[in-house]
Amino acid sequence: MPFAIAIIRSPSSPVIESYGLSGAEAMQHDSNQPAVFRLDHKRNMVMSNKWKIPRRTFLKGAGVTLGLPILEAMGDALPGSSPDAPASTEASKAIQAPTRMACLYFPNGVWEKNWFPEKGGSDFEMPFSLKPLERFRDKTLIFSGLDKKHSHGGDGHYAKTANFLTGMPVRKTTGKDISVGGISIDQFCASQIGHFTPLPSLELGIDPVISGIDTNVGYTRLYGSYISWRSPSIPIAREINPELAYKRLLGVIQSQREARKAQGKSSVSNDAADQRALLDLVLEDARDLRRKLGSDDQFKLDEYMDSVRDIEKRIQFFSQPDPREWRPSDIPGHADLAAPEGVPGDHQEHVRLMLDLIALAFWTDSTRISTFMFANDVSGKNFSQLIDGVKGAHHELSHHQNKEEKYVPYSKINQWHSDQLAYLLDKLSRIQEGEGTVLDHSMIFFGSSMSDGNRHDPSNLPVILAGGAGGKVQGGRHIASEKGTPLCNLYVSMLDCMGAPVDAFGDSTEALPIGPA
Amino acid sequence: MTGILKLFQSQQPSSRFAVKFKNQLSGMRVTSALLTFLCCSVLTGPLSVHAASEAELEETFSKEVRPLMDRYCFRCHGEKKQKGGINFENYENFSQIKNRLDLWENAKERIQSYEMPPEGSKQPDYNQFQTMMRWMRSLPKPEIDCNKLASDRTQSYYRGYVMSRRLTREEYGNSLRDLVGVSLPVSKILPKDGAGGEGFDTNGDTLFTSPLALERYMECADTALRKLFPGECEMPAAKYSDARAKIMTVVPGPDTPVDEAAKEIVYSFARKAFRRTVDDYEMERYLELFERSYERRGSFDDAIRLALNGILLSPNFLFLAEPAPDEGGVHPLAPFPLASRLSYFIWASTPDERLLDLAESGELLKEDVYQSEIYRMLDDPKARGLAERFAMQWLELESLGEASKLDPVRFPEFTPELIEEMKEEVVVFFHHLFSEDRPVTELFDADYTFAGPQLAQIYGVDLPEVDRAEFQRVVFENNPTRGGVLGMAAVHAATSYPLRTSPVLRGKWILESILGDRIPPPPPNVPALEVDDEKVSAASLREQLELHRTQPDCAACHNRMDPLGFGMENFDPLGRWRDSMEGAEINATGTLPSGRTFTGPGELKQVLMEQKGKALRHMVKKMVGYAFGRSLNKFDQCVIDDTMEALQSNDYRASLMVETIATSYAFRHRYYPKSE
Repeated sequence: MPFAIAIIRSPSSPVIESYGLSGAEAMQHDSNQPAVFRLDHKRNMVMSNKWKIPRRTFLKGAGVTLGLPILEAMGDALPGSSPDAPASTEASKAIQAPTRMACLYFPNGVWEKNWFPEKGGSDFEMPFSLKPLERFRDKTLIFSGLDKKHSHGGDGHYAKTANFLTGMPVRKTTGKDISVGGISIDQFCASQIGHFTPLPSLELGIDPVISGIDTNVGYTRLYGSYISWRSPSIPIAREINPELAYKRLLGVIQSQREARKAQGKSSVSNDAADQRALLDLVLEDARDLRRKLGSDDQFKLDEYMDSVRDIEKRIQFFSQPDPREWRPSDIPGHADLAAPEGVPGDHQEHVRLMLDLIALAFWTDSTRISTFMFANDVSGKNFSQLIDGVKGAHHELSHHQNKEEKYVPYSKINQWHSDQLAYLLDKLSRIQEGEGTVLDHSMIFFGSSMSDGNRHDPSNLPVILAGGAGGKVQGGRHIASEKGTPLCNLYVSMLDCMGAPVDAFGDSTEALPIGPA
Repeated sequence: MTGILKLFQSQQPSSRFAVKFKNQLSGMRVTSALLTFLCCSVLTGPLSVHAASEAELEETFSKEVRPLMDRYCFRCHGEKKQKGGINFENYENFSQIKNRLDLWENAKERIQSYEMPPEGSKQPDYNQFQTMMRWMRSLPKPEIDCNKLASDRTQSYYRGYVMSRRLTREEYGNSLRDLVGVSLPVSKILPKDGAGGEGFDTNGDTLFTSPLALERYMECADTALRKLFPGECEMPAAKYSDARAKIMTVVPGPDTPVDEAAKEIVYSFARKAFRRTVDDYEMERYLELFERSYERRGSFDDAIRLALNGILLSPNFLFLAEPAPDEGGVHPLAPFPLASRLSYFIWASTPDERLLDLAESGELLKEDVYQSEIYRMLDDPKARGLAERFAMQWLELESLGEASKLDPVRFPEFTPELIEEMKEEVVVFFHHLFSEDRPVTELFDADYTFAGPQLAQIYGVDLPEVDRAEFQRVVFENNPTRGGVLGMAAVHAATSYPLRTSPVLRGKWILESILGDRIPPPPPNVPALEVDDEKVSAASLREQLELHRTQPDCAACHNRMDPLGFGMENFDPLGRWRDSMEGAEINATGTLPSGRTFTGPGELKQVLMEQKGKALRHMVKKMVGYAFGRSLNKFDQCVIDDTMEALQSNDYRASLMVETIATSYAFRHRYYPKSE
C-alpha cells in the first residue's frame, strides 16, 4: 500500500489525497498541474491520476479560511510509520540523526499538587495536569526539586522569566544596563552547533513584547517577554505571526532543496548576489558610522553588525558545500503544507501553528534549536472559551489562595499547556527518521519559571524533558532531586546531549544524570 | 459640527508667539523633596513619604538607619575598609550628611536598584530595606545646576546612555511613509520593541537589533520600493505615481546620461533618509550597487530600487546617529541631529525638506527659527505621531485588544472595530489638545470628546449629522461624567478583567498612570483578593474589598486604590454607563485616606483637578522621558520644573509643554564620554 508524506485534511471532510516526495522532484513539478505524486513501497515516484483539488479552493469551500494547522496533513500515515514500510534511504540509516532541542516556556507557574507525581522513579501515577502526557510516558522525564537560586530575590515575575534559560541573576533596571547574567542555553547551543543548519535557531512566541516598565517593582516589562538571550544584555526578537514565520521557514526549506538539487555545485542566483552586495555595503556603512559615534552608542552598532553577519551567513550557507553528512529523509514542499494566513484569533490554534513550525523546522533540519513562549509572563490570557470549567484569566487564577474554585481551573490551564506539549510530541513522533522518529532524536524541554503561582516561588520548578535525544535520555521517570538542586545542572546534561558539552552552565554544580542507567 | 480635519482648522490660538518665558539656561536652584512629596498627601496613605524636618531625619538616622548601615554597609564602606573610597561610618549626624547629599543620593540609587549590598553579602530584609529607603527618599535633593548634563564629571557613578538610538518600529513605518510615500502595516511585520527608561519604546538602551528585525527591514523596504519601481516594463499603480515622481527627480534621457540621473536620485534620497548631507565617499558604494545591477540587467528601475534598498537598510537610516566630536564632553547638538531629535519627538517621523534645509544652512540654531519650527510642526498633521506614540504608551493603552482583552462571549461588542475606535478616541483627543493648543488640563475635565459610530453607541450619544461614519467631536452638555481620560472607553476596558470591572485595577491606573504614585506589589504570599467571575455582584465585591482593607498589610495601598476605582464603577468594562449590576445598585462613592468623599466619575474628575499640579508634573516627566529617549536623572528635574512653570503661567496651554521640553538645555545638548 502506498503511503503518503502528507495528507491534506480538514475536520469536516474526508482525506482528499496524498502526494509529495522527498527532495526536489516535487518542486520541479508545476504546482498548477492537477497531478499527484505518490510513493510506492519501493519509494519510486508514481504519478497518481486522481484529481487533486487545489488546496486553497478546497479550504475556502470547506469554510476554513484561517489557521488550519500546518501539519494537519500529518494526522495519519507518514513515511515509515507502518511497520513494514522501509524506513529511509540507506545513506541516512548509516549516519546517526542529529539531536534537536526545543525549549517551551509557559507563564504563571503551576498548582503543584496536580503537577508533581507523588512517587519518584518509574512507578508513579501521572498527575492531573500532566495526564495528556500519559501516552508519551516512556519518552518523558518529570523533574522535581530543581531550583533557580538567583530568582529568589527581585520581583515576582520578571526576575524569574528573563533568566529561565540562563539561570543567572536578572539585573533590576527599567532599561539601563539590562542583564540576565549570561547567555541562554539555546543561544549558547546555537553558537556551538548552529552552523550545521541554515537557521542557527528559531525563536517563536504568541504575544507581542509587553509595553512599558513596571515602576513599582523597578523592572522593564520586556524582561517578561524574552527567554532567548544571545548575550546577557541582548534578547532575541521572536516571531509571533505564523504566516510570516511560515514564509520565512519555507524560504529556508526551498533553498535547502535547491542546494541539494545543485549537489554542491555552487550557483549563486542574481538575487542572492545582489543581497550579498547590499549586506556588504551596509556593513561598511556600519563600520564607518561606528567610528564616528561615542563609546556610549557604539555597542548598539555592534548589535546591528552582528545581525547583518547572521543574514550573510545564511545566504552563504546555501552556496557552500553542505556541512552535514546526515540528510533529512524527506523535505516537504509548499504543496504539502497548509500555509497559515495571518494570526488566528483562537489561542489554541495559534499555539499549534507555532508548534507545527517547530516540527517542520526539525523535520527538515532547517534548525536544531528552537524556543517558544506560550505567552508573556504575567499573562492574563482569558481561557474561558478554551477550557471547560475555566472562567477567567490566567494570572488572576494563578493567585489561587488555596481556594478550590481557583486552583481547579488553574490546574486545568496547566493541563491545557501539557496537552499542547503532547500535540507537539505527537507530531514529532509521526515523522519517521532513520530507525526512529524525530521525537526519538529530540529533546523538548517544557516548563515554567516559578512553581506555585500564588507564592511566586522559584524553587521546585515545574519542568519536563520529553523525547529520546538519540538514546541519551531515558524517559518514563520522575527524577526527584534534592531540594535546591540547580536547574542549570539539567542544562549541562542537555548541552551534552546536543553535542555542545560544557563543564558548567549558569549556576550549575554538576551534571544531572538523565540518560539510561 | 464637522469632521475632525475641518475642526482642526478652526480655533486658531491668537498669539502663540506672544508667550515667552525665561529660558532656563542659567541659575542654580534647590529642589527639595518637599516639592515632590508635599502635594501627594491628599491621596497618599501611610506608605507615602512625608516631608521630614531635619530633626526627624536626624532622629531616624541615628536610631534606625545608622544601626542598619552598621550591619550591612560599614564592613566595606567604614573605618576598616573604604571600597570605592567611600566611608559612611564618618557620618554621625545630619549636618555632615547635608554637606554630601550627592553621595547619599548616589547611595540611595544603588540600594534602590539592589546593587548594594552586593550579592553574596548580608542582605537587609524587606522591612529593613523599606526603613532605609524611606529615610533616604526624604533627604533633601542635592543642588542642581540646570546647565549640566549627567556625565562622568557631574556624577560619581555615570553609566552612560545610548542616544544614537535605533528607530522604533512605528518611527520606522512613519519614516518609510514620509520618504517613499508608501504606508506599510509595520506593526504586523516587524517585531515589537520593548520599553525602558521612563516607559517608552524610544529608550535607546532597550532598542535591540536582531537578525529577524533586519530581515524584516529588508522585506519592508523592498515591498515599499516595488510599489514605486515594480521593475522593467511595468508602471507603478496610479496612486503611487506622485510618490515615484518625488524620488525620480530626474529621468535619464537624451540629455541626461544614466549615471548622472542615478547619482542625483541616489544623493537626494540619501539626504532625506540619512537626515543630513551625504558625501561622495559614502555615496560611491550606493552608485556601485546601482551600476552592478544596471550593467547586468539594463533596467534603470531595478537598479535604482536596489540602491535605495541599500539606503533604507543602512544604519545611517535606521539609527538616529549623533556623531561624536573630536573632543569629549558636553556639546551643543549639531543642526542635523537636532532636527532629527525634534522631528522624532513631535512627528515620530523623519524631518521634512524644510527642516533639513534649515539644518543645512544652520538657521535652525537661531532661537526664533527653532521656536517657530516647533509650532509649525505642531500644526502639521504629522504631529498626530506624538499622540499615537506618547499618549498611548504613557496611558498604558497600547496593548488594549492584544494582551488585555474582554471575554468575547460576555462582551461580543468588543470587536476589532470598536477597539480601533477606542484607541482612536485617545489619539484624536490628545492630538486635538496639542494642535489646537488647548489647556492640557482638559485631559481631566474636558466636556467634549471625539467618537466614531461604534463609540457613539457605547456612550449613548447621537453623532451630529454630516457624516456619521466619521470620527466627530461630541460635546457632553450637562453630563460631567464623560469627557477627559476618565470618561474614555479605552481606559475602562484596559483596566477591566475579561469578565468584569476591577475597582482595584482602575484605582491603580489612576494612581500610577495619572498621578505618578507608586504602589508596591503585594507582599509575597498575600494574594489578590478578587475573583474573576461574572457572578460577583457589585455589593459583594465592595464588601470583600472592605474586608481586605481591614488587614493592615493590605490597607495601606488599597485605601488609596479602591476608592478611586469605585468612583468609576458606573462604567462597565466596555465603557457603557450603568446604574446597577446584577440587580444591585452601583455605589460609586469613595472616601480617600484624606477623608475627602466623592460620588461617581463626575466628582472624581473634580478630585483629579484638585491634584492637577501633581498629575501634570507626572505627565511632563513622562513626556520628557519620551522625548529624551532615556531614563531621567537629577539634572532633568530642571526641565520638569521649567515646564511646570511655563504651563502654570500660560493657562496650561499644551504647546508650552512641547516647546519647553524641546528648547531645554538637555534636549539641545549631549554629553560624549572621552574616547578611550
